[in-house]
Amino acid sequence: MEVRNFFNGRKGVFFSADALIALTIILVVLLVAYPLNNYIQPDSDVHSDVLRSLSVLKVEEVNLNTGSAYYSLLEDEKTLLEQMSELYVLNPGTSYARDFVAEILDDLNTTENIGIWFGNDTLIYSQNSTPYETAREVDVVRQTISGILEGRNTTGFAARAFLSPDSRTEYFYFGGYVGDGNISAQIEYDGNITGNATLEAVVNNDFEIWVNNLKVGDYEGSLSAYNSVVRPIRYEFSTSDFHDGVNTLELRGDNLYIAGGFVKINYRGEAGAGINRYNFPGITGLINLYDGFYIPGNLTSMDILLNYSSDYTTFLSIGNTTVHNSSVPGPQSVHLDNSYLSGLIDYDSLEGGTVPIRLGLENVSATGISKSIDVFSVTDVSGSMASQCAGVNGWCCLLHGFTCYTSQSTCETCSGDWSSRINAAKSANNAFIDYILNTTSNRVGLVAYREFVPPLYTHELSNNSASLKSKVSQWNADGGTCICCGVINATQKLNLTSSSSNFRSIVVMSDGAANVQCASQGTVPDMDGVGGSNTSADHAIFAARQACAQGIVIHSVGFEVDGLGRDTLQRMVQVTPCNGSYHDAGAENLSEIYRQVADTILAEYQEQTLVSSEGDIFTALYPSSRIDFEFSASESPKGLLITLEKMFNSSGQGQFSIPSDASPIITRVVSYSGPKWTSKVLLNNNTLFDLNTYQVPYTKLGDPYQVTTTDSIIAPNSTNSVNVFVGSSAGENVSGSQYNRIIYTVLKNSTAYSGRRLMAGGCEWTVQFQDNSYADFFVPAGYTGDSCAYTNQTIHSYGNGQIDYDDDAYQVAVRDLFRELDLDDDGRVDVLLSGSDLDINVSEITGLPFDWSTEIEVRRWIQ
Amino acid sequence: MRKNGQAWGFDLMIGITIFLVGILLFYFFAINYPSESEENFQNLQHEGEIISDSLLSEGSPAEWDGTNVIRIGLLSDGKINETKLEYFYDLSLSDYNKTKSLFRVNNNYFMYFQENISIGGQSVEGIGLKPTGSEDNLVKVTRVAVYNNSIRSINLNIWR
Repeated sequence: MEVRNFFNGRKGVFFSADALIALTIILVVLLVAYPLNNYIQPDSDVHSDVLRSLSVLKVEEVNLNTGSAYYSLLEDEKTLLEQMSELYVLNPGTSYARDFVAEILDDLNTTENIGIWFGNDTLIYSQNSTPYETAREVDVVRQTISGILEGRNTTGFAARAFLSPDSRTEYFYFGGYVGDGNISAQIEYDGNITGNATLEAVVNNDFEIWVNNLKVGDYEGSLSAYNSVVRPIRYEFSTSDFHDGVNTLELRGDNLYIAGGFVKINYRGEAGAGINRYNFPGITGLINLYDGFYIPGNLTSMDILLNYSSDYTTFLSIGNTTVHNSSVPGPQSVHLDNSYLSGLIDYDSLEGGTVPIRLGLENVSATGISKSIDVFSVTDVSGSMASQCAGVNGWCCLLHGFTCYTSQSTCETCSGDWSSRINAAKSANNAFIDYILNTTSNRVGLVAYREFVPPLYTHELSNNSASLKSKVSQWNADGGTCICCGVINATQKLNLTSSSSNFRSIVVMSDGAANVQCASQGTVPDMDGVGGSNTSADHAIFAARQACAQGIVIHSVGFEVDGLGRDTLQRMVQVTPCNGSYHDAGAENLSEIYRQVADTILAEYQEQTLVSSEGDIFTALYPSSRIDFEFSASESPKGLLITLEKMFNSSGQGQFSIPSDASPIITRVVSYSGPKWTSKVLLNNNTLFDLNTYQVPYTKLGDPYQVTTTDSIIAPNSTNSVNVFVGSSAGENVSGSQYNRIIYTVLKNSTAYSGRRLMAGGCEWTVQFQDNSYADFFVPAGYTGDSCAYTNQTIHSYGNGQIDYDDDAYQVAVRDLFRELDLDDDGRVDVLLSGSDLDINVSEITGLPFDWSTEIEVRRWIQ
Repeated sequence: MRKNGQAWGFDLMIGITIFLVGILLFYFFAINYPSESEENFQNLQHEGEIISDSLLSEGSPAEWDGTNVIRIGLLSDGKINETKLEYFYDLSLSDYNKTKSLFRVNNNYFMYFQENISIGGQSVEGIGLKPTGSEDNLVKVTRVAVYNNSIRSINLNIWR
């Protein structure tokens, strides 16, 4: 009652009590949800410190249990972190890494949760009181370890392969013609010769090779081997009789000659003397040398020493200048010094070119120096050849009784243009007679034709110059053009009055197309594809071919002719095996053309070979003879020089390329010209050599076997083209031999690096060279095991650059070296080296860390 | 007129007042009170980090001694240098307050390894002012370093 009465008047008390209760409830709820005491987790750098400590401390600094399973795998120089990583990577499936870290960190007194991860997903070690999986907060520090990657090696090998810098290839060249007898050459080198020597040459007969007076072997001559075709043979012979210094190489046989060739050796040592000296070959028999030498720079001095023995007139010509001509019999040692030579020869004209050199005998009776020539000049005296007076004043001519058409002076008086082809033809014939009859055993015959051959216009074969010229003066021009008439007439006369042992030839001239047939030939088939068969042109061509079939060589001259006329004259000479020459001529140079034709005929029948008709003649040129040069030239290149050979693609044409990482040093074009002369050599359409610049018959000039250049006309990193022409006279330029080659020296990198590889084992190598020869060798020396090959895979069962294991540093380095030396990337090494020559040095670097890497993480976590 | 409900105005005011006072008291007491301790903790933690970072450095100059020290550091090539450790010990004994000023801290510190260390042939428990155990606020900072070619924990107690 009192309580109730107490509260009856005080109802607000209940509200206040409710408020207090409610407040209490709220406070309790808040306190439960928001404790007064917050536990604040302090930050920690323990994980960073652990990572740093593992990175600083090295294996060799830590006292480890030597009896542990991994102890032998430890490397002192590695940091604990690197060692841990390597143990993990290289020993999968073991606990080596964990045990190693545990040995180091188990004694670490810390209450922190820490762990070490490899990469981001592999726990290696942990020291923790609460599980990581339920961690509320994780701190991570990382460090990259290079050279470490799960599943990979940590270190590897590198190798470098290179050719021995003193490995050299030297060539000794013979001239375009070296004869006639036993032939020798001086082979000089400074070092140790390796492998066999190579002789490539055209040698007429079977021969023996002697080295330093010791017989090496017997060899078959190239002409007999190839049925008289001019084709070189490559011979290999032992170098066991060679020695450091000067060696004498001899070819002995029956009246030998070498029509171009070289000797090649490989040796290890110092570079040769280079091109400052020309060495004469030794010749025992009849001195008969056609050769050349190269002057690369500005010639400042030249000195010649000739040691020979001869009872005959012996001469030496350089270019078109005779520098020595002596009849003094017996052994001679002739010294031609610079002061004498510089007075005779314009040295400037020799600069930068190949100069022909000729050494021979005169006044010696020998067959072959010239053979008797019987040649008919068949001349067009048709109406078109008649004198003409064009544009003349008619009244003037009338006043002069129309003599303006027969008299040049009258014609010109009456303002006419006088032309007289017949007079030009007469002058040319007279010149021709003089050239041919310069050799007394030769004879000339004359046939002049119109629509027939007037008997009074012919002259039998004769060496009577006056009689022949008198006949020429009697010719008048009139009538048609029966070319076949002239050829048939000349052929008949040759058959009647010329011996088949003589060289027989016909020179046919016409100023127009044939327009008369020869009934004696019957119906002639189509010979030129024009106008059907049995045309006048067909008859002319047929007559020429008939003459060729009888051993008569046709040469033709087109006198201001074109179209069908030229075509006919050209077809008349393009007959195998005669293969005469065609020449275009005008009135102003007709005589010169006839001179060239005469040269051609004379050269064809004046072969380079000498055969004594007096029995045994002894002359000797000693190989101590030489020419020394001094010239300003660029500094010798430093580095490894590689000499390469490239055969011609076809007759007279060749190509070669200089790789982009190589520098051309010197390039030689060797030409097998046979009985002809190498007349012109072009490189990238630039004239390297032109025999015609000497303006004398080729018979007076040397015949260089090698034409050399060091000029910038050689284009690096592109294909260079070479053209070689040969001929017997200035008017003849035919494509040279298909067996020619280009021998060029480049400065080239010849080092290959393997990069990091897993191992360095080696290989037994089979290598194919550019000449399709093979060689076997072992790198490193004495290695047995894996087989490797660098070959053209189309030829051999191996692939191109195939190696067994791409992770072998030796194999990769050697393979890449061969790729460097395979300039045209055809799977064949371009540097010709025999197996015993090849010297590949391989340097090995071990312990190279690989460039892959991984991260090590140290994590700290809190619950 | 008969009024059966509670007195509306006055009681309501009392009730609201009680709630407000209670909440305000709770706010200041329950929230602010811990902020203060947290602030103290953070201060101690901060100074602990300062001291530990300094100790786990090379110091300045790199080859410092008791006469030229600018900043106390114990490491050389990432490892505890015993010479520097001895210098630190000597300095803490001879002029403890100087070490505090070099560390740029106001609180007291005591550094010790997980085992006693040897300094000058003596076994030393730690370096600095050893706490008595009655400290109200004491923060412990743990670091790790290479000492004597082994990885050891280094503890640092910081208190007011």
